[in-house]
Parts: sequence; C-alpha cells; structure tokens
Amino acid sequence: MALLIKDEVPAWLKGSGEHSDVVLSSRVRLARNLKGYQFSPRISENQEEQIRQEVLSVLEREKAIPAMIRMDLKDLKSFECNYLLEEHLISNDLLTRRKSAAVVVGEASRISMMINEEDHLRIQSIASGFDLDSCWQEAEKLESVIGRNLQYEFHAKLGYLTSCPTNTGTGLRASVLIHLPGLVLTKEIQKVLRGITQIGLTFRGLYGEGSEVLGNFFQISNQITIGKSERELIEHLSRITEQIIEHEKNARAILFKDAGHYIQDKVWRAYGILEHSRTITGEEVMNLLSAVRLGVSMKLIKELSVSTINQILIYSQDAHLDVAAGRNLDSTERDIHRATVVRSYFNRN
Amino acid sequence: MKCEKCKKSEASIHFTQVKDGKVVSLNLCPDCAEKFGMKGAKFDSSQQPAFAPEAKSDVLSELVEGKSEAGEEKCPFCDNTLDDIKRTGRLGCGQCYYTFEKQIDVLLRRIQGSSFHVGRRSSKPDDQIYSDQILIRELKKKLNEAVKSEDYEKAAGLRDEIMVVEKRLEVSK
Ligand SMILES: [Zn+2]
Ligand SMILES: [Zn+2]
Repeated sequence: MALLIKDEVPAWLKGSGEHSDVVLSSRVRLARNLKGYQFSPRISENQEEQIRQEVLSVLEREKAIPAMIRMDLKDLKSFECNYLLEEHLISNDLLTRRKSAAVVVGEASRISMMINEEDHLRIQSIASGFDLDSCWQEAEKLESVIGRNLQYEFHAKLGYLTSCPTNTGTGLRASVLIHLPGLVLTKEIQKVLRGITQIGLTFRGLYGEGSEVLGNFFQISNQITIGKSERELIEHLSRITEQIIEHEKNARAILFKDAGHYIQDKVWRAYGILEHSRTITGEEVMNLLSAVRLGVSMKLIKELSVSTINQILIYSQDAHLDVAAGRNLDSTERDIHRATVVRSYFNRN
Repeated sequence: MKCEKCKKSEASIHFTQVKDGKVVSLNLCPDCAEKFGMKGAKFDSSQQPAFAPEAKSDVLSELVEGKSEAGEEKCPFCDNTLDDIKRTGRLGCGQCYYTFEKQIDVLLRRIQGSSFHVGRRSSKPDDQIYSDQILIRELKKKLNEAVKSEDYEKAAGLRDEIMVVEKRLEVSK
C-alpha cells in the first residue's frame, strides 16, 4: 500500500475556529501502552506485529474512525514519510521505526493514531484555531473505544504507564501552534517564553522537539503530565494561551502605532517576493509568510485568507513538493517547484 | 517545586538535556542556575529554544551519579536494570514501574513535581475499584512509616492522596 492522499484539505488548515489569525492549530495527544507487551526499546518485532494487528482489528470491528485510512511506513518511500511528518500525522520518532510502524488517519486528519511509536499507541486529535476542548473530546472518544477492547498499562497510583517518565500519568500532551510576530518584533518574546517555562509549560518550533523556530511559529504545550487531571492541564494551557494572544494583539497594535510604515513595508515586500519569485528556499517562504500572515490578520492584505496562508505553509514544504512531483527532487529543482506552488496561490483570486 | 541544589528557594529554571543518551533534568532556582553557568542560558540561543544549552557538564553527571546505588536488580518481565533505564532514559515495560517503584517515584517527583495520577482512570470499573483498594492500603502503610520517621511534610502529602482515593471509592460505590 502506498501513500494515500486525500483530496480534502486537512481540517486544521482551514483557518476556522477561534483566534485563528493568531493560533494556527490546537492539538491533543494521548500516549498509551498495551498490557502484556514490552515497551519500545525492548519490544520484539513479533510483538509489534501483534500489537498492530490487534489494534487494527479493534478499529475495524468498532468502526472507531470514520473514513479511516491506514498506512504502514515500511511501504512508503522516505519522502512520502516526510510528507506525513509535514502534515503532523507522524513524528520524527516514528520515522526511526519504519519496519513495524503504522499510522491511521480519519476524515480531514481530525483524528489519527500512530502505532508502535515510542509508546504502543499515540492518539492525536488536531483542530484549526484555538480549540483544545474539541481535540480532547475526540482523543478521549477514540481512547475509550480502544480501552473497552484492549487493556492499557495502568498503575493505580502512577496512572497510564509510558516508555518515558516524562509522559507518565495522563500521557497527555496538549499544544497550540501559535504565531507571535508581534512579540518577536517588540522583543517581548523572551519574557513570555521564560514566563511559560516557569509554570509547567514548554515551547518549541513548528516541528517538534529541537526544531528551529521559523517564521515566528511556536508550539506551546504542557510539560507536566501527572498530578493534575487532563481537564486541569488543558484549562491551564488554554488560560495561558489566552493571555499570550492578548499580549500578541497588544504588541501588534503598538507596532502599528509606532512603526506603521516600517511594518507595512515589511509586509508588502514579503508579499511581493512570494508573488513573484522564481526560486525560493523553504526557510525564506516560512519567514516571508510570517510577515504576510501578520498583514492578513491586521487587514492590510485582503487578497489572501488565513486558510490560504496555512495551506501555502504546508504545501510549499520539501516533501509535499516531492510527492506532487512523484519523486525525490534535488534541492535546486525543489526551490523552483516551491516558487511555482507559492505563486499559484497568489494568482487564484 | 524546591531547587535541587540549595533545597531552599523555589525552582524556576527547568532544565532538560539529553546527554550520552540519558535524559537529564534539573530544577534550579535562578541563583543556583547562575552559579552553574546557566544564566539566561536557556534563551541565548534563539535557534533551539526547546533545549537548554551546555551547562557545566559535571553538574549533570553529579546528579545522575547521586542516584546510582540501586544494585543489580532486574525487572522480571524485560530484564531491564536501573542502569539500563538511566542509560536509555526509557522504561523497558510496565512491570519496570513496579520493580523500581521507589526510584521512579523519586524521579517523577523530581521531574514532574508529583507521582500521583489524578486524571482519567481505566474505563473498566471493576479494575478501578480493585486497584484503588490496593492503593489505599499501600498509601496508609507509607503514611505510618512517614509518621514513625517524623517526616511530617511527607505524611501530609500522603494524607491528601489518601483522601483523593477515598473520595474516588465513595463515588464509585
Ligand atoms: Zn537554589
Ligand atoms: Zn520491565
């Protein structure tokens, strides 16, 4: 089975949902392991195969994920795996376990699950804009269906047991992908980030642990997974996110008041380059899109929607270009393809 | 959470690093962090903010070694030793949590500030009542020990935990 691509745009790129001009997407991930199997560094390939089959048969029998598609990573080319990574459907970790790893994806990528990752199961729900509650509900729903059929590793005092002790307890990682150009430009960002690390939250770049902060996109998530309930963890993250949105909006207002010409210039130059470039790197797209996104959300640019910008952000990435071309492009070709894809969004309206 | 060095001030700098395959974390107050050359370190590199930078590495090994006299006990299900767990930063199986419960309890308190799960529980109600009854017995035993050794801070914590479980049992009746 090869890479299965749905025609539909993933729901989290739709630019709908609350505060979608600042918060790109919300995500909830639940880590679970099945009783009776060893954890990932120790587990044998046979056991992993058993887990895969057991879980898939539950999903099929219970029709747990409407319109489910399933992909085994061993059947995919490496750029196809990277495509799934760029879609936030799999993790870097899963890529290192291609022999036995699988991913299942529901309608519009709203719900998905990695099988045989660092933990046996990683359930994920992702939504557009600021909407952690619905992510939690979706993830919990799938978790329950599987839990009715298979037994999770659960300890009366420690909660759900995970391969890494940083996930033990709830196994929950809730996160928001948030765009903070205002705070970066006003140099307030350090203070904000330092603040969140002092209250049990953490941050990283667009693509997970250790990834660079590009285009002023930050992923903010809970660091602590035990001692508080899932609801409490999510409410805490939501409350802090609301405060950060508020800060960001203030920073933007100040910028426009004090340096309006400078900001407008930055926004329109970025727009011009994206609209007309003939070859462009991924990093440059990301940074220019950040400026254009700011322009759109400040209503300077009316020709593009937040949804379009979200789509450019993902569809201009390396593996998406490779998949569209049906092969592994070299980097010169890829930058040319990228410029073409980006320009196509500008000529649509 | 208290600072792990001076054990006095509130720890506000949380530091995680993967070093030789080990996950090392430290919770320090700003003063102690500065002493170890970590001042503002976490934010100097805007490129990789998710990771803390080089601190003086002897601090880290010192903290890891501090916990290294658990002997050669093996997990009966996966054969992992405590050294394996430290080396990989990962547990070998669910049973490891029971085999090394004491050490993992300490570790969880250190890196997460708690070792007491209060969230969602197994959706099978029978399992839940069974495990809560065992849990309460264990917690009470620990409470007695804490009171005997006059560790009142620990005892107070255990008392809170027992109350949570009792309430849970009450509800599920
Ligand atoms: Zn201190
Ligand atoms: Zn074990």
